[in-house]
Amino acid sequence: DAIQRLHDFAGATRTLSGTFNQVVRDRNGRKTQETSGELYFSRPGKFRWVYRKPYEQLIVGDGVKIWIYDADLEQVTVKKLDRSIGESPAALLAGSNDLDKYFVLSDGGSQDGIDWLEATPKGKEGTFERVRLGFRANTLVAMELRDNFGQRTDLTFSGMKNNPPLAAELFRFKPPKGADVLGDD
Amino acid sequence: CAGLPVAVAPETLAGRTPVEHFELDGRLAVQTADQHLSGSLTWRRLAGEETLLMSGPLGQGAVEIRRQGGRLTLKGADGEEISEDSDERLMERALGLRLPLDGLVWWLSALPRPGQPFRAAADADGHVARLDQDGWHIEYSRYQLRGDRWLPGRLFASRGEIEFRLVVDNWVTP
Repeated sequence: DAIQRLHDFAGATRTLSGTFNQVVRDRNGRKTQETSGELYFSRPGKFRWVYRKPYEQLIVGDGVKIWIYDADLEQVTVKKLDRSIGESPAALLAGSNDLDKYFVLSDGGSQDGIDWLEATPKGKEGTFERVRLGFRANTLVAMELRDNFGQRTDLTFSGMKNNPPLAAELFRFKPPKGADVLGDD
Repeated sequence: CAGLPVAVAPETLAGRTPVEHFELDGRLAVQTADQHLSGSLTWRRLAGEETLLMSGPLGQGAVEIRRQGGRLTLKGADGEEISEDSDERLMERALGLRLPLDGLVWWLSALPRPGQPFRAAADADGHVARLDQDGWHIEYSRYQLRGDRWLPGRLFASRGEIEFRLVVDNWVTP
């Protein structure tokens, strides 16, 4: 079932790469954001989430910190990786294998060939009400996130490769010249 | 940008009104002496109701401000709520910023808010490039034609240690 599928996925995939399309809708179903780009993961704690369109934003987890760079805001924010990743959806992909520590996992049923897994954060101050991961065979194909304000984020993944060789500097971040760096670095 | 901004005579801005009702989606970074918030912003301002929602990269809502009737409520991701009758007091309690929401609407349209002294300067195209009011210094750029109006696509505002940066990705008037 899907829970076993996630544990197999978490156990079997040490690295992951692919492209994503992300749509965010507000509580009235109005689309407030549509972005796309690429993602790379290397467990535990390392990931690179590149927003290409319609704007440039980069999120890098280097295993110790999370760096977020927005080209238009000309700003880099940096946060410690510990708790913040623990409960975030990135943890489901890049976290170490103790998912049960942060999430209650349950089977979300299957629909048109996709097996869904539901993950509900255990911590109360988490920013998510519920996360669903969709698998087709042992490939992650979708993620759906619902926050505490009725917002819904739908991610669809394509070209996903399990365990591709990934260069180490993908998971290092060097602030570009001229950008402010803010946060607990 | 081409050439230094040129001072704007106040009367040229008198009588102009801001975009009052809109749905705006953009990205925002707020920095105060002791905290830093960055993420996406959805600001929906309609006749009877106004909502501002700031969220993290994957659409995880962090802070929501709702106005219904005269009442303003701020809700955090942990569900904690605070309410006030005045937006200035609410913003101060929540973010330590004395920032009236109604004033922001004027500034968003690159206009000085009424009844307060200001200084403004325009860029080569005649758009307001800089506005100084209420101790805030605001820089405007990336103007875009939205409907029949030129509106700024990016605002960098600062006052002492406080700074907020807004990039407008989508701005629709219903």
